[in-house]
Amino acid sequence: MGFTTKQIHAGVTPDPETGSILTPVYQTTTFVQESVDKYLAKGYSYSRSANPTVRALEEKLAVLEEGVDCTCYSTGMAAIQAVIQACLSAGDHAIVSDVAYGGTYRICTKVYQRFGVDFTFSNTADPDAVAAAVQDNTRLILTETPANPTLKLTDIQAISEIAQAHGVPHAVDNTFLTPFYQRPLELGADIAIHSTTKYFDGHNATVGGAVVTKSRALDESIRFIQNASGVIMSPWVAWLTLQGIKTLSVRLERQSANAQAIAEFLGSHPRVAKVSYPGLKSFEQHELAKTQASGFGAMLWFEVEGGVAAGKRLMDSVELCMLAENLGSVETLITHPVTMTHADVEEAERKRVGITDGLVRLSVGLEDVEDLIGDLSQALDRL
Amino acid sequence: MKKETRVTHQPEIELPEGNEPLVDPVYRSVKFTFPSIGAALTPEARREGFDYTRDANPTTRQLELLTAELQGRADGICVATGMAAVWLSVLGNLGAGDRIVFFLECYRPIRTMARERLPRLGIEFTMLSVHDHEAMAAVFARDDTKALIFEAPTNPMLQVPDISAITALATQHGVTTILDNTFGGLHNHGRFDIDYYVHSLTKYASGHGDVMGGVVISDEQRIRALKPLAVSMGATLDPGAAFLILRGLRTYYLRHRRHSETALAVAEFLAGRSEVERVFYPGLESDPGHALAGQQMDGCGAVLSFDLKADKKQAWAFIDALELFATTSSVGSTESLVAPVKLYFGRDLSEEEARRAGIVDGTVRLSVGLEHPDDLIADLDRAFAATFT
Repeated sequence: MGFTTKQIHAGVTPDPETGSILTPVYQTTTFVQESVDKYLAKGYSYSRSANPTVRALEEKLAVLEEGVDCTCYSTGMAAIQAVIQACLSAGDHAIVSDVAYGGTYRICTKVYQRFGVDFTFSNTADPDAVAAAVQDNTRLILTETPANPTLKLTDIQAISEIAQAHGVPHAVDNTFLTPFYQRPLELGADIAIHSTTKYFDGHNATVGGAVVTKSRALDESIRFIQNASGVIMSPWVAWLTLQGIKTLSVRLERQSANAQAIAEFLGSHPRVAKVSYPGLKSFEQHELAKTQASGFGAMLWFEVEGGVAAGKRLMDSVELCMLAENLGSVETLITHPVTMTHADVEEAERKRVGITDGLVRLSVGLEDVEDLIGDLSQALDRL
Repeated sequence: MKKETRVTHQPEIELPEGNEPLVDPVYRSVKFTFPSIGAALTPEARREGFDYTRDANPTTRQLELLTAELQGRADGICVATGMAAVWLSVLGNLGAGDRIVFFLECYRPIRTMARERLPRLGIEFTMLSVHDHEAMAAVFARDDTKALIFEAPTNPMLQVPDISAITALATQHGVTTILDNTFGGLHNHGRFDIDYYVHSLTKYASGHGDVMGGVVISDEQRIRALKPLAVSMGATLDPGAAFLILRGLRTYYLRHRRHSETALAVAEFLAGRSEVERVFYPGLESDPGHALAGQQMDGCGAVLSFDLKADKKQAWAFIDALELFATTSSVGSTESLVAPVKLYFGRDLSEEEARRAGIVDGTVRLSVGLEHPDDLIADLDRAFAATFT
């Protein structure tokens, strides 16, 4: 069955009572048991532990990522947190991509280090560096590819082999490409993590997260955390996300085509010093992008001539591209990390993860590409 | 602009001045825009503005401010569930090498957190009885004891802790106090010297059994310090859930009063039954916690437990015979609910611990709903007749 067919039908069966084609929103906290000794006979007791609408989404995502099962969360960070908490205890060590999302970096350094967990932030684009970082107490390798916002790629297969050789789970944040373009579990990873806020929802209407695992045992240990720590997804959010996913491949194909056209336009613009998009031949890891994913996605960054001032000016000159830090939605969103997402990050740290002063991140939306290019063109002309 | 662009940049509806919605809309949007980068970076925008719903959302903010005010504190952080609130308050106040004190009588997921999960984060625990002030004084005096989490009254056995005595001991030794005030309610216990209140808003605040949520409430400084952890944990409450809880709170006081009145009537009925060994409800004059509850609380709420003079089989048959009480967990909703205590809330306890917690095979917990008390009492009466012949 093709991906688009699965994104519409997987996990969802018509409601047996009424035939409703959509899964109802089970807006209930608790589920009545037929009798005391038939406790949990229908699988549901309390919505923190499991809810049928959320469950439909979990089943759909497990199918799309080719995993055994999935757990959903209040946000993408809650999903990351659940994986960390399930895999790591005081005294353990984890290897985390050195260009991981700032939120991931923060939960490692500000929260779990306090609880005696040790982290190595490693260049996961270099398998040798990862292999060298493995210790006896390493219990998790967490990567993100393409990384946010640098788009640096990690070779999922290569890192998974290292992880497997040491009996350590490899978790991949697959938010940027979604299983439509990239399936980490097929490439050997053990866990795929998502902020469903991004392409799965796609409409800027919900925040949510998901974790898909390759093994039942991993799912069980992560599901324990989902229930115990209570960072669950609400049934309404699950319902909206179920609806969003039905157009995922269609949106992503169009958004990626837009991104390719914009990247090519920017590449030839005199005010642009550099463009980075995995679909460009000039992209350093273009070959890896072609082999481990079936598409390049809709995220790109470029650097304008003139540093911070020019980047800021560009932000204030765009009209259609919206100044907002989310990504993956139908609206095109533009950010200037130095003054926005990474404003609090020290310069050395920014440089380390490749965020230069003039770097502008673009989450390309579903608008007509002529309108988007027109908007960027007029804004660049004002620099 | 082409139509394909227009559909993602939809017309804005500006409300004429004074033509406001009576109920504020649900702000479903994940993102909030700013007119310019400069505007996004002002201290006011960073402190009070909205940017990304994981971090802050106007609908959720409304709920945070309302619940904090009802609890008599300055601010709060809303999260996905009551347990997420518990975790946030605990992780925010402890690090590896620290010790937490909690009570045997508490809600099962809190025991699971403290006994199974926190040790993995290097956090030690001491589990005491909520009535054992002497043992508390001893463990609070330890250098590594950093926080105490407790409930008033406790779930599921409705024990009433002496909040003044406990907080005095904790304060004396610089131990942070976290009160899970879900059973007390947002209008209760605000006058005590508590550092953090946590609530499952799923219960009395929502009141309609349809939505999950939690909140941590404290002073401005503590909430500001805790906020980055909440964002890191991503424990965000869905704004749609916040909207439903705000709706529920409109009838909070009416419901709580009615719950308390009906629960007392049901407790009195049960106390007079020969099939019942003991009733646990602080509103009942004969309850050991009655005098203390009278000083500490206004209204004892919907939840009561009682011991049937029955083995497990007969107790379960009694529960199954009830028609108006649905067999399920949770409390504080408009519908009446019933739960077998040992099965639902005592699975992790050893026989010895269950005995100390006062839980026997015949212990039953009721959450009394808003139905007419006569109907609920008639239902209980019918179940007694059907199972105790």
